[in-house]
Amino acid sequence: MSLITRRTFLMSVLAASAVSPPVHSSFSPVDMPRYFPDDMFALIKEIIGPVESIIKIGQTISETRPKLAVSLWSVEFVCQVFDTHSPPEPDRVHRLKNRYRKRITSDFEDGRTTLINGWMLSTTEVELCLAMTGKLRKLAQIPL
Amino acid sequence: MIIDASEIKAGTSIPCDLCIIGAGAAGITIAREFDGIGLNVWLLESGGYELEQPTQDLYKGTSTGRRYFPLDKTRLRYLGGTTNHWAGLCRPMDAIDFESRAWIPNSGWPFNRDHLVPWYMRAQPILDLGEYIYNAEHWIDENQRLLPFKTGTFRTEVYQASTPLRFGTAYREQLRKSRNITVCLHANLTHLQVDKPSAQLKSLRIQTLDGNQFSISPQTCTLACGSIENARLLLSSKDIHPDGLGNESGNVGRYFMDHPVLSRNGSLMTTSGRIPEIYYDPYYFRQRRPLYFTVLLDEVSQRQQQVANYSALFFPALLSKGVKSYRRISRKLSRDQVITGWWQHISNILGDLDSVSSKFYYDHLTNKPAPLQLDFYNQWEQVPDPDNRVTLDRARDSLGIQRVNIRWQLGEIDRRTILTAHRMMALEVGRTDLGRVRLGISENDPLPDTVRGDNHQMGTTRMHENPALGVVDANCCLHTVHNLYMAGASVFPTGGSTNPTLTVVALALRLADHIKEKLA
Ligand SMILES: Cc1cc2nc3c(=O)[nH]c(=O)nc-3n(C[C@H](O)[C@H](O)[C@H](O)COP(=O)(O)OP(=O)(O)OC[C@H]3O[C@@H](n4cnc5c(N)ncnc54)[C@H](O)[C@@H]3O)c2cc1C
Repeated sequence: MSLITRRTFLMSVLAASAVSPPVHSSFSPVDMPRYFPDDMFALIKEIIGPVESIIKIGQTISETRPKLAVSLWSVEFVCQVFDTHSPPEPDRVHRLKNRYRKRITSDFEDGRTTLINGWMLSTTEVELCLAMTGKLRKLAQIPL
Repeated sequence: MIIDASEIKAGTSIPCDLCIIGAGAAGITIAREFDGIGLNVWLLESGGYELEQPTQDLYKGTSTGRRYFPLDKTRLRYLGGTTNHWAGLCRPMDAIDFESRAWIPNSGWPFNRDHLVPWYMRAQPILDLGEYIYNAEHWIDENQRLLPFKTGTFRTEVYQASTPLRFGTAYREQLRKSRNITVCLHANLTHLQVDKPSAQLKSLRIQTLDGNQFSISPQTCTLACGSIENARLLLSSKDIHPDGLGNESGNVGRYFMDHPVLSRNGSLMTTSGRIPEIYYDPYYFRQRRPLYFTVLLDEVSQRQQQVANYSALFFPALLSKGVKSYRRISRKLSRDQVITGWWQHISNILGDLDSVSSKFYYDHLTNKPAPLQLDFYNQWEQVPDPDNRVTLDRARDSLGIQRVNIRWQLGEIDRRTILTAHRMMALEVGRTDLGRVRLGISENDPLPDTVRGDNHQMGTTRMHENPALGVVDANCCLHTVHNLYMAGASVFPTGGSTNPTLTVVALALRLADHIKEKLA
C-alpha cells in the first residue's frame, strides 16, 4: 500500500501544476484503486462526494477553464485528507467535512464562485475537483 | 337577453346607458356588475358561442422584432374571449409592481396595490378561486416546508388555478336571463365617433360580417377587446385626430408588453428529498384547488440589483427516451400487462444505457436519494418601452378595418433580469446546499431566440395621470374623451411577473364601481 505524506503530496502537486498537464480524457474511475489505500475512497466520498463525479467534474473544469489555478488551501486540504502518516483521529473525517462545508457555504455567501459549463460551483469545490483529478493522479504515480 | 346582430334593422341607432364592447373576462365582469340595476346596458361581442373562422380571421395581423405568436392564435374572438383557452393560473401583482422605480423607465401606476386589494378580493369568486391568500405558508401543512431562502433574496408564493373558468360558458345563463343587459353577438365595433367640442363619444358603428350595419349611442362606453384590439380601434377612429382617437400624446398602441418566458432554461441539480415536492408536484391540491408554488425574486433584490420582477416554476427534467422505455416496461411487467412495441423499447434502452443503469441503480440497488434535475420555467417582467407598439398595417380585414402590426423587442434590463435571477438562485441554492444551479444564459450573451411571450398582451392604452404620458387616467377614462373607458390589460403601465387576468378582473370591477357612481 502506498503511503502519501503531506509534504510529498504538496511538492508533487506544485510540480505537477508547474507542468500543467492536460487531464487524460480517457480517464476512467476504475484506474483509481491501484493508487489509494482502500479507506481513502470512503474518506473522499464522505467529505466531497463520489470519486467518479469529482474526477468527471475535474476533467471538465480543466478542459473548459485550463487556466484556473489551484490554491494552496485546497492542496493543503487534500493533504490532510491523504495524510495517512498522522495517527488516525476518530473525528478526522467529520472535522474535515465540516471545514469543507463551511468554506463552501461562505464561498456562496461571498460570491467566490466559478461557472463551469454554466454550473455555478464554489471556488473551493472547483479547486478540490482540480486537485483531486489531474494532480492527484500524477501524485499517485510518483514512486514514494 | 342574448340576441344576434343580424336581428337588428340596418341603419338603426340604439341609445343606451352603457355599452361594453367585447365579452371576454373584462367585458363580462363589468356587464354582470350592472345586472338588475335600472340601467340599459349593451354588451357587444364580435363572435358567437363558438369559434367561427371568418370572425377569428379578423384578428390576423403581423409582427416584427422578436418572434411573437400569430395574432389570430393568441386571442379568441367569441363569447368569453381568450378565456376560452386560457390556463387559469392566477396571482395578484406584487406591491413593487405598482411603484415608480427609478431603474425601470416608464414604471409606476397611479395607485398602489393596497388600493386594489378590495377588488382583488371580489375578483376571486368570479374566477372560481379560493381565499385571497397567496402566501405559500398558508397553503402547506405542518410536515411540509418551504425553501429556506435568505430574507430579501427569493420568496415563495402560490398561483391559484381557476378551473380554468370559461367566462362565456360560466356566465351565459346569467346574461341570458338578465332583464337590463342585452348581449349582442356577431356585432363588431368598427368605428368610434366623437363630438369634438364636448369631448364626448357620440356613437359606435357596428357591422356584421354579412353586411348589416347599425349604430349605438351610449351615454358611457367601455372598450374591453384585449390590449391589441383596444389600441387598434382607437387608432382606426381618425375623425378628430389623424393619428387616432385619444392619441394626441402619441401614446396609443405604445408600451406594448408581454411576459418574456424561457421554458426549461436554467436548472437545479439536487437529490430527491432536498427540494420539497410541492415545488414540482403538478397535482398539489388544497381545498380542492390546484396550487402551483412559484419562486419570486424578492423586491429587496430587485431594488439592490436594479432589475425587474421575476418568477420561476420548477419542472422535473424531461426523461430520456431510454428511461421512459425502461419505466414503461417495468410498470407493465409489474402489472402483468402486455407490452407492445418491445423492439422499440429495447433499442431505446440500449441506446441510453448510462441513464437507464443509473435509474435502475437508484430504484433497486441503493437506498441513497436519487439525483433529481429540476428545470426552470422563467417568466419575468418586461420593461415598458415606447418603441414596442401596435400600429396599423396597410392590409385591411373583411370589415375594411386596417390590420395591425406588433413590434415586440426586449431590452438590456429584460436580459439582465433573468441573468441576475439565475445568478442569485445559484448562490442561494449553493449556500443552503440544496444542490447546484446551471445558469440558463451567460453573462455576455444576448437573450436566446427561444424567449417567447406568454400570451399576456399588456400596455397600449396605458394609465397615467399625466395626459402627455398616458392614454387613460387613473379611472381608466380616456384623457381626451370623457365618456370612453378602457378595460383589460391595455391600461397596465407595467405588468409585473405574474399572469394578468386576476388584475384585469379586479380593475374591471373597480371600473364598474366608478361607472355606476358616475351614471347614478
Ligand atoms: C393560451 C393562453 C393561456 C393563458 N393563460 C393564462 C393564465 O394562466 N393566467 C392568466 O392570468 N391569463 C392567461 N391568459 C391570458 C388571458 O386569457 C387574458 O388575460 C384574458 O382573457 C384577457 O381578458 P380580456 O377580457 O381583456 O380580453 P379577451 O378575453 O381577449 O376578450 C376580448 C373580447 O373582445 C371581443 N372583441 C374583440 N374585438 C371586438 C370588436 N371590434 N367588436 C366586438 N367585440 C370584439 C373578442 O371577441 C373577445 O370576446 C392566457 C392566454 C392564452 C392565449
